[in-house]
Amino acid sequence: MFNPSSIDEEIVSVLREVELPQAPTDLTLRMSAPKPRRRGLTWLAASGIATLVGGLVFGTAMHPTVSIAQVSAAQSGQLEYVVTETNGVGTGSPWTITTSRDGNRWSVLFSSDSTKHRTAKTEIQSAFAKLIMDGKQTVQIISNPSLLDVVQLDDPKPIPDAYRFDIKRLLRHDSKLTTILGTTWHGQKVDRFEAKGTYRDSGKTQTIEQLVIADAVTHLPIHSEEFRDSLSWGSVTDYEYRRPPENVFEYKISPKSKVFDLHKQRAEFVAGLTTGALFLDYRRQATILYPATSKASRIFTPVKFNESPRSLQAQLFTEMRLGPMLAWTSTINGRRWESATLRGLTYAEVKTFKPFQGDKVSLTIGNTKLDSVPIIHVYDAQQLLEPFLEKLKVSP
Amino acid sequence: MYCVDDLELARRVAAGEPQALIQLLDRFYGPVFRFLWHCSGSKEDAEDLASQALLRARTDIRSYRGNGPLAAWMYKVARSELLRYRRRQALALVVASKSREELVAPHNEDFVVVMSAVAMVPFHQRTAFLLIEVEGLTIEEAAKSLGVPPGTVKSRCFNAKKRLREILGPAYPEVSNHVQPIVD
Repeated sequence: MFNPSSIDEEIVSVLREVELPQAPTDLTLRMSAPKPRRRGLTWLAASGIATLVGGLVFGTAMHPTVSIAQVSAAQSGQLEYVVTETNGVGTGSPWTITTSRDGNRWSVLFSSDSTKHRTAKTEIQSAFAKLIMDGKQTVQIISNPSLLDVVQLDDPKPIPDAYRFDIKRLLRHDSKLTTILGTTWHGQKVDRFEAKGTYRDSGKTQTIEQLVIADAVTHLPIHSEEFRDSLSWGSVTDYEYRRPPENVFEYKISPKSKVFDLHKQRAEFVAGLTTGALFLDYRRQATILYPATSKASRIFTPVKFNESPRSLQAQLFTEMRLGPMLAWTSTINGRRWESATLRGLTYAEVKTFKPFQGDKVSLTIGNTKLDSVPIIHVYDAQQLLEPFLEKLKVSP
Repeated sequence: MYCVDDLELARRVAAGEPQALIQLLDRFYGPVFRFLWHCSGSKEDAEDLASQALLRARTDIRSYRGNGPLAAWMYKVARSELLRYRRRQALALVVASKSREELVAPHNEDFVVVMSAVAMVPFHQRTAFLLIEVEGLTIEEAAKSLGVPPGTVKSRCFNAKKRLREILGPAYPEVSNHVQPIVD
């Protein structure tokens, strides 16, 4: 217990009694190295000059040049790792993507605590989505306790580029890069790369700060951060270089799951395609596939169904980019088709819309009449059409 | 040769003179580490932060104009690293429980109790108190380090001491069993 009459002195005395450590030897080395150039990708470890300056005192070889390109190169050679990326940090609704790789096998798990749902029994369950690609098949599992439980099977596919993380792609070209070599992080000797820049969003100039911490020996990234808008929100990623556990590549199909076999569904759809198709997906979105006209594609086209007085709009699938807009079209059975989502119905209305209740529907899209178009229930129409999709310019 | 003039030392560090660099490290690494440890509550993080602060000081030393002691400037650099660290820690929802394990052994019980109490003091009061009472800066020097008026520093230090007395005085004898680091 502290003496009230001398408590101030006692507190300070205890705090001052900490044994002050000596600076680590490698810090002394780094301090004596030539300062790295700002924005320069590397700085020259001119061994002659450096040895003269540093070697006279320390007598050891200089720390070699390290650049972010080397970190990216070290990373690209890895075949076993687990990357945990937490997005939406600072927003109150973070979600996590865990990417596990074992050679050509991939597992990507999306999970979020913020999508917990209470059932009638006040049991809290979390929503998640999982993607498994093992070179033999592609499996998607979507579990959202209050909405759906879906498994979609597809042919083997290469992992999308978005999951092949690349540190160099993370850093913006217009950011100011600062490199701190040979520092420490949680007891590990690391090199630190910090980038600061700005970007425009909704008419305002916002800040972006990025950090990459790489092991000083292997150059592998071990931690990265990206924070925007004066550090108000962002993402944090940690990298582990180990073989992931076998169970991340396993999955179970529960009896209550709706299973879509895309490979089978695709084959049946192509075999039966004549006038077009109407896809109703599990998220209650309607997509129309119809013959492409000889005229240039239009983004919006009016649609009328024979069994309903309502007029709807078909919005072409397009890709936003700088320059001319690109529309997603398909070539199936030697014919060109366009695909568009239907606008004008709420999610609830899609389920009850009279023309969608049977197996076929007749409609007019623009000036084209389509009779007895099959209605196909899918998880995601674009994923079903993916092997056939091409991108063509849309007319202004 | 030991350089007693701060501006001269800064000039020689900027020029990359090995002896000046050693002197800078000898003079400031320990105290900066101690300040960062007391502020952050984590010895491991303080080691990282101290290294970063000294490396950054090496790069930015030309900005030191000699209009105050080099120590005050050095703590200012350390505090910048600390603020960045705190913002990231708060965003990344890092819990301080790891640092509490570091406090338990091999330090004595008084140290554990005092560090836990310091962690309960609001951050701005904590830094003012540590710079003045532990690191020995004057009020004016601490004000320069913290970028606030001397009156504000004095008030923060006073309130920190008051808070510590409340925590560690006779009314709170068993603080080590139930302290929780504050989030501010």
